[in-house]
Amino acid sequence: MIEFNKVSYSYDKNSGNAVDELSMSIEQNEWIALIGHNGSGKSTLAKLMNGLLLPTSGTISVDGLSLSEDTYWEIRKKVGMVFQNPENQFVGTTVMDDVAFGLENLGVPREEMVKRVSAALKEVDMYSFKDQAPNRLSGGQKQRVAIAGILAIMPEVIIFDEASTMLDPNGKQELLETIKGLRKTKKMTIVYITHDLSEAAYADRIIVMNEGRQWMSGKPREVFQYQNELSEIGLEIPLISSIYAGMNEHGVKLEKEPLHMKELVDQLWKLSSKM
Amino acid sequence: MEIVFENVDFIYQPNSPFSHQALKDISLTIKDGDYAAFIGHTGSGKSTLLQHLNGILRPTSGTVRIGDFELTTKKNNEIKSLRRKVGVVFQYPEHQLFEETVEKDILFGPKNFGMDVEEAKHNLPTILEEVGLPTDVLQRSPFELSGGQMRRVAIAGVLITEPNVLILDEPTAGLDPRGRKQIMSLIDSLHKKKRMTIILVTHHMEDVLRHANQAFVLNKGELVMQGEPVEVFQEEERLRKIGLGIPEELQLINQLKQTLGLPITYLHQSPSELGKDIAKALHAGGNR
Repeated sequence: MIEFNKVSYSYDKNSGNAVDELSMSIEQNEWIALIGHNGSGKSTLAKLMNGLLLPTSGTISVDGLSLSEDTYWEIRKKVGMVFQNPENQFVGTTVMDDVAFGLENLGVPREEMVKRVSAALKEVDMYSFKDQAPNRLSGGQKQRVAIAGILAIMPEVIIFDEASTMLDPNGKQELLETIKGLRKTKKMTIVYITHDLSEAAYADRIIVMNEGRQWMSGKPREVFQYQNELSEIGLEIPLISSIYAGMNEHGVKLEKEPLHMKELVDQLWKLSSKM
Repeated sequence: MEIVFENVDFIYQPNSPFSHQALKDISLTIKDGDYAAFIGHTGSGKSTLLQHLNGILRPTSGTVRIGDFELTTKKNNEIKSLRRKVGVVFQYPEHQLFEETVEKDILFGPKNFGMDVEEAKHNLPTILEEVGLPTDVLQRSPFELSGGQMRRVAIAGVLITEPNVLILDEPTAGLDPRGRKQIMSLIDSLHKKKRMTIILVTHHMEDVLRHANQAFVLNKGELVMQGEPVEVFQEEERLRKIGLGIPEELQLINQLKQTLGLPITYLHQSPSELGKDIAKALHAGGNR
């Protein structure tokens, strides 16, 4: 779905490359978590994926279309982006108007628009709020409306650029549940940028960025094995993984590396019933 | 400096159709040298309460005492001296940096408070060391720095006015794990070495558990729980009802107790020590 071929990007000539000779590919329908410390190049990468930035060198293609000054409008229709601050993304006076905004810009006929807006709001379970003012919503609800605005455009890929950072724990959970729900009903490629590895645990695959390069790529369970190496590049494995590492050192071996508390407790339950 | 709230009410736009009571009959004491944490979800009254601590807001009724300073419904002209003693690091403080150089930005506070700027300048190296910034950042533009560094500059700009109380509103929001750890240990050292009273507002229950010695829980403008964090977090059900969670390690301990009967006590273990304790309890067989 997304191909990077030796892509570099630098913000100005005097500083180094924010993204450095990066080659990678993201498959259709894959949920990728893009992680890395502040300044590792992950947000630059996201902006390159939807043509907000054009590479200094190398090539990028999205859904078979090569990114250039002639194609970036097409590509932006394929790649939607949810940003960090939900407050900055609203333009409409009601939730419904807001979701319709992107469609108006694309010149979608009214009848089609109404259909798409309703469907998108139902998808994120915000239909009952359609006539409310966006500023009265909670952080998590705001991000869900932002997602609906993107769904209405029917992109192939949605990028979440640290979209959970400003949410409280309930809002974060709400966002992750919404993405999980979307994946059940739709073919959709997800790129989820975060530096919280416990959120990254929900993805199919994690790409770890460091100094503008892909430092590691693998399933969450594989990546979390590298506790010490990750901490050297400023990241921290989820608490449950650290706790399990401690148990493991003291002779408790489970069938599979637990990613969440439920996985840990369930496996311990099984184990102890055999003991 | 001891901070005491006595029956504090605060109403936004009183006597108008938009009137909204943000604080209801709040009474609490934060002792000198405490590390207090305020928790509550968005709209619980946390920010309103904090704004009483340095006189941005005055109570609609009741009294706030901060050291010798008394904040009542009446206006008080000495508010500037209070603001010097109670430093506030707001959310995303890097958005409030505005000077050309880091040095000018840090010295803005002393200038604004009419302090001796030369003396403040003299103290710059010490302050920078405290917040963990190299002295060569002084002549750089604050906007060239990383997010974590900008946040340190903002904290330095508060510390230079030598406050006794430091209030931090979500000081680690948006930082990566390393940045978070560094800021939290910086706050710890200000608390321990400088004996500053720390008031932390956060959604990170783990941070409350690990760092604070007093926790205050707000809900809909009321103070609903207070005490040592470990005690407050015992009441998982009550916290859930008002939309708050407890730290993950305590959740795990509770679940292991309920499902497997494993008796594990939280004693500020590190995650791997906790893992070891769980392994030991498992080998001992629990008490099923």
